[in-house]
Amino acid sequence: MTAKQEVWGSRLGLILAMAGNAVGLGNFLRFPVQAIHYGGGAFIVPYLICFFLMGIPLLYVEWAMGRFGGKFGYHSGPFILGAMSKQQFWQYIGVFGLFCNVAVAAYYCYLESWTLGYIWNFATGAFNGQSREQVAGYFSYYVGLHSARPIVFWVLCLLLNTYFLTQDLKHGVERIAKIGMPLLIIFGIILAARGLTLKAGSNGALFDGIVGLNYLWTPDFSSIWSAKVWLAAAGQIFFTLSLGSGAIHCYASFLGPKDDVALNAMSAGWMNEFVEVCLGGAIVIPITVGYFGIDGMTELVNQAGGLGLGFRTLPYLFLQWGPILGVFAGLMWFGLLFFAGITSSLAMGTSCIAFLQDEFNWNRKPAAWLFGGVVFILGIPTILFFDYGVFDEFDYWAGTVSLVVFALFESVLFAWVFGMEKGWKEIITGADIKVSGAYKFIIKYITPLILLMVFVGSLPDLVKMITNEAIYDQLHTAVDPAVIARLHATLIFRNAARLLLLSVWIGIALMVAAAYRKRVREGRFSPLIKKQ
Amino acid sequence: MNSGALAVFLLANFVVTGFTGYYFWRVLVIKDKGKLK
Repeated sequence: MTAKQEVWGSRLGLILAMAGNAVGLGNFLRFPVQAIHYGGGAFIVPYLICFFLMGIPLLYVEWAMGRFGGKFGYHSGPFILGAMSKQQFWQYIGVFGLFCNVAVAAYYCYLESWTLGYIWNFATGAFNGQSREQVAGYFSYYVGLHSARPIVFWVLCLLLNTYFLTQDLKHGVERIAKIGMPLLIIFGIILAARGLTLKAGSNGALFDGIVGLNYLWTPDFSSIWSAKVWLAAAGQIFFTLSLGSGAIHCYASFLGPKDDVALNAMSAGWMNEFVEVCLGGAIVIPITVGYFGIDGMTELVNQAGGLGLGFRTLPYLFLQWGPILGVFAGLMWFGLLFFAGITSSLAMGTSCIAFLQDEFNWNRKPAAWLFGGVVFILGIPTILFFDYGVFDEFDYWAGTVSLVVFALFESVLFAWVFGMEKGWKEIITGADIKVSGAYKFIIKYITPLILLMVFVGSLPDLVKMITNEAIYDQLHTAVDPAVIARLHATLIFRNAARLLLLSVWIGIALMVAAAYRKRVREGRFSPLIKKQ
Repeated sequence: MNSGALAVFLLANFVVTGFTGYYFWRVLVIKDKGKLK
């Protein structure tokens, strides 16, 4: 089956798949930590304002762009963007829409596989009777590759992803979303209810879970005057909705030309917000505070962030709930993280596979296996050199910078190059809800401005990253030869990771150029691309 | 919970759950003949 022949089986399936693409581990592990760092309950003010002014407009834009490209048989970033302008330049901006997916999948599938490893441990009772230090230490043991288990689960995770990607949309992505998303929400509600009803003195808890909720939501309104808080809120909205990755475009490109995008975009976007704000805010922090108090939780967050809380701390805390409830809680927690992960990684794969199907006439199965193979090869350095920062490099360049760059350009393309009048028509065609006319103004002026501010605001970090400032600072103060040698090795691995990522981007750009020449030869143009 | 935290928590959850519920209700009840069901 070619990408052109594929369709969504149902509207609900599409919305759940889109919501699944957006809902990721960050909804549960990143959002609450960001809220704690940036004003507690007051964080929700810039967060929701950014959602209305940047999140919703970009959802409309990406859904509309995807459906527009789909009319001409384009299902991947480069040619969807290319269809909207006469200039070939936009195709190469669209390369980010493939690059992000391949490079993020390379490390994200590894992260996803950790949840499988922990599910296995809970299911087999491997954590039973272990001390807090032992459970926390298991994470370092796991990512330190002291056994073959991380590799086994990573390969299993890749095989699962690849298998589901070999199935057509309806039987692969959509089916997983229809099973995974309801389960994720049910597990989330159960764990949130447990977190909020945790009582001091029961199951070894020192404080009520409500104490944690109180701490998380106590507003520090003075913080909302800080630019840093607004940047953090905009960044959180951006990443939680999986904007700027090309995945939304791809999924929307399988819609019919008259299908609704407005209501679908809102349903999927708000579902992600529900999971993040209502569930994500009610699990990790209340449970951790219940056992360690506010100071203990703050210390843990500062030491290892949300990921540390989710993988080092919570497994031990679940076990305090007794052998049966503890195991079930662990299975639900890592189960929901797994579903959050796989629904996102499948979205990454779909756009890459669609590119191969559209441009090189590949069948879905070999295309899926090629994607799995590339992710496997690119994933190896992120695993083997995890401690040298390769994983972080992938996350920063592919999972952060590229997304912002892609979204900034696409918002300019949609509103200023394609034209706001035509763009607006694309958004409201077939719409099952009335889209506020204010969004015409917001999409044209406000959203690109916010994205520009996010980009400019991240430039200092970008410069620090490029110049390896943090590592050089450590080198200047280090005296232990072993530490110095390790820092030098980290520099080499980090720079090599950047070169690898650059090579991937260039490789995809060359494929796009070849695909374009092929289209020219075959006379397959979008109406907007000039004939050569 | 202190009143400020409770107010912000309830308001945020009300807004997010409300919008999510409203849009899903629209999706589930809407009749869009000829379009994706």
